[in-house]
Amino acid sequence: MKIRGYRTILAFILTSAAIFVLFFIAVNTGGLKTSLSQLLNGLFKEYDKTVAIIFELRFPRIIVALLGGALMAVSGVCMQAVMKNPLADPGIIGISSGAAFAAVLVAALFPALAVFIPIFSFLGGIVAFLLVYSLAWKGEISPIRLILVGIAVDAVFAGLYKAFEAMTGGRYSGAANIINANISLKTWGDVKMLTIYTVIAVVLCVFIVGKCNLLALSDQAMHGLGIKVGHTRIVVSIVSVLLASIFTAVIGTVSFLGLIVPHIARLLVGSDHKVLIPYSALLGGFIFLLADTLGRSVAYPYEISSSIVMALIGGPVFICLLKRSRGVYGK
Amino acid sequence: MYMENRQIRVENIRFSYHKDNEVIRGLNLAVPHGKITALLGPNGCGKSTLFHLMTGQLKPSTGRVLLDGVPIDKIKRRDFARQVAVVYQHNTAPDDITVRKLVSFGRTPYQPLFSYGQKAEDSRMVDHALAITDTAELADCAISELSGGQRQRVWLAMALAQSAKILLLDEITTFLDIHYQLEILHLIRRLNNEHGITVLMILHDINQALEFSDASIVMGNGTILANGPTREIITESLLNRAFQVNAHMAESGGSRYCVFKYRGG
Repeated sequence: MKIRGYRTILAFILTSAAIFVLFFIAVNTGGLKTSLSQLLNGLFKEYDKTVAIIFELRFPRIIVALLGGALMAVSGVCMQAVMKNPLADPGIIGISSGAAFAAVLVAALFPALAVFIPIFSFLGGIVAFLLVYSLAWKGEISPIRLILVGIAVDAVFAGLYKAFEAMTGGRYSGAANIINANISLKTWGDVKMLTIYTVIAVVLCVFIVGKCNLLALSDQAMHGLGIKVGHTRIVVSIVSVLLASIFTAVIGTVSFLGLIVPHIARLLVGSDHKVLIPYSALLGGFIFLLADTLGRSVAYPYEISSSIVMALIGGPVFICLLKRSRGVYGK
Repeated sequence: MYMENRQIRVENIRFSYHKDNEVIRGLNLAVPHGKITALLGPNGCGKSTLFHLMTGQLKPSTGRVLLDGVPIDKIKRRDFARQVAVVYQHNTAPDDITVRKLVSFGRTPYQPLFSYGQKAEDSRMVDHALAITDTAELADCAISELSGGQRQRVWLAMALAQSAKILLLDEITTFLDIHYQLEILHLIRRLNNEHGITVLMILHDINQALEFSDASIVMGNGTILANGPTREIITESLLNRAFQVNAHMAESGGSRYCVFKYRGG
């Protein structure tokens, strides 16, 4: 008990420190360089041209990556709680694709509604979620069935938005950015939008933390405790889909982020959602920024999209996690 | 004597999972207040279904289940959970959850929808539940570190933290070895004697019913075959009829036992 407590505090401190270091590295990845003192001086004391350019170009991207990573990681935690299934990643089981399809449609056909894209994404995500849930549900959700159905739904929605993009001749860069999860051109406007939705998300998360913990019990045990099981599931699902949809609307479709971050977080801080959700947010921000920064630096001046880096890192990491915890999935 | 009229009554209930296959066929009973009642019957007789109808997990197609004279579908889930607690044979919880944390889930029906932290009353009830189930010294252990018998005691503690006056137990000793079975049954006896908790439990072992229950309900094919004080109703002829066996009752040291012979068919 005590050991778990220290370990949790240590995990928070080390991850926060890692984010600071990574932030500085990310700021310095690219053509322009700055030292820490120059950066602080330029930000808080007097105008510095290099710092001003970095502030306009790189800061939004870094902040979008941090916030986005947090959203997607927490979405994964919630989805796994609802599905009682550690493999449920909104990015893999089709929710992100459903959200992306809606976002691509709106971005291309109604560009004036750009600010509301997250809301349309959310509707797309909900449709995908309902499809997956109803198709995978047979009294309970078996991990295998969920993944199989999820992959099928994911393939259909991914096919739809790729077909749409091809049919429109790739004219809509907004759509292409969502598909490729390209965050290189993010502005302070994007940061503002993402921040607003993130604040909403944080408020919602505060309300569902207790519910996530109770979802770990069997349905009949929850019922015995006077909990409306179906109602609880719906509320937590909606929050999860909302978070994944906001991420998709602003950033794009990224797999494995919502899977490996909660996994690692559970290993480090345990399964109490009061700790797991905030820590997953922190770790999610770190991992996604790491993916983006790696993508920018590996083949500079060319960029590898963060979703590709996530797939490259996430796949192998996920297989390692599977091997480690065979007992959990062997059933 | 301190009497609270908290009683479960079942009136004329019928239930079927599929149209032409009725599992519960017009059934009436009252769970005796302040006693331990065993629910007995062969596999597939409908006792689990009846159990779920009494917890409100299933709804009867006709008839009513009443708690204190109020139909249970008119009672809010939370209010019901404050009066009736349920423990099952199979339970799931995260491996790393501590015993205290799990037991404190039993306070859920008393907590506001969005609660953080626990009120003094909640932690007092959790301590109380841990103490009477002898799990206080395990409070900081992770649930995965416990033996099967300890785990069932913890799940009982969670139910007790609900401060309910009625406990419904669904075969909670089935997967335990005889030592832990007896340990749990003695604990249940104590809960009844010292805390006046009404208990209804599904049991498989007739001899345990004879030893640990005041009353019994014996079911067969969706109806009640016998219902009354255990020692009076458990007879050779009833057991022969209910379980299709040859039962022989014996007496030893003031207790009654029965032995069974297979009779085929």
